[in-house]
Amino acid sequence: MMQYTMLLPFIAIFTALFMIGITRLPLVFTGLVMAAIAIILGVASFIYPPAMPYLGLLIGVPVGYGFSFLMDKLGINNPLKLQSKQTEINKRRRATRRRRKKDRKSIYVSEAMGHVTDARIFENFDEFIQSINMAPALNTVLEYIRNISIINNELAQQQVLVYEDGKKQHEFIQLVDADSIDEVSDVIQRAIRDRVMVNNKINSILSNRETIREIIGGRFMVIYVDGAPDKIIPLYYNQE
Amino acid sequence: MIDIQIFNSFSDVLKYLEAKRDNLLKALEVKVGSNDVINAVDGSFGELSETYRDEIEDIISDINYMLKKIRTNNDYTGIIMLVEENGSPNKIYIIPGDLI
Repeated sequence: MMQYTMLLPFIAIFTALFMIGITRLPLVFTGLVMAAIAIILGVASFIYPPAMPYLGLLIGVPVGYGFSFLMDKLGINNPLKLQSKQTEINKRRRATRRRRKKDRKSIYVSEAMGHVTDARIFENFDEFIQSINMAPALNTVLEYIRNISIINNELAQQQVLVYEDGKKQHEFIQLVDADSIDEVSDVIQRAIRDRVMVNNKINSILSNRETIREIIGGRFMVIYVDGAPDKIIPLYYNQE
Repeated sequence: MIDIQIFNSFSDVLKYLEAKRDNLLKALEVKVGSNDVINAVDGSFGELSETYRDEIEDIISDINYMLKKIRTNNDYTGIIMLVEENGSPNKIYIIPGDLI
């Protein structure tokens, strides 16, 4: 009997710790706490056979967890779980990150047109005309990549790693094998195709340039849609 | 829409991305009235979709994300291809060598 009463405070403390762990701390910590309880109770039941019943706690834990999970699924708020503002922010951040990841994959999928891709403020019209006349020659790059597709092995030795706080964070894709060369030429070809449309738009801007120059006057903002200048917003003094 | 920018070094990439972000931030400060929009193609009056601010903000956050990733301790020089998808920096390809 004495042994039971001695053990009770410990059980109480562990239970309390567990409750805190499960509601406030990340899953990994909860797992660690569970493991600690399992070990301590396991050892205790060898030293004090009467402690055996407390192993029941270990069954209660996953049951409780499952119950709380079901409540979440059903949309019932778990009163033990503190819904802080931070959790909400984190959730939203995770969602954005997920969305970004998804977006990043879409590079090989042809997509609907009509995205704002850039916005710039120009001091005068000539500056703007100059900016749309400059476009890097992608064909040269494409040709270059086709030429180097033979020298894969040498390239494998050239690694560029990006470090952040002393830890490797990101490894940019290297042109080390035929697959990545195909990938790069594919991307370049897509860009060239997309640029045809941009160039068509730019050509009509250039042919109408005197009309547009008269309308917009001095300082203005240009909004680019799908890489081409699409909307011009003249800027007056009160707009900034 | 996919676009590609070519650079010779990472510091140029950083400069480009930072300049683009600054331009976009400036653009966000502009209040656009309903009568001010002109179609770039022919100079006629046009309309601007209300979502343009959101799209610009998305690009800014993608640029910041990319800038965070590019913290290289040795500045690589070679052909650096920055792939932009719908205006957001998306991927970087490094091609050893240089275009003559």
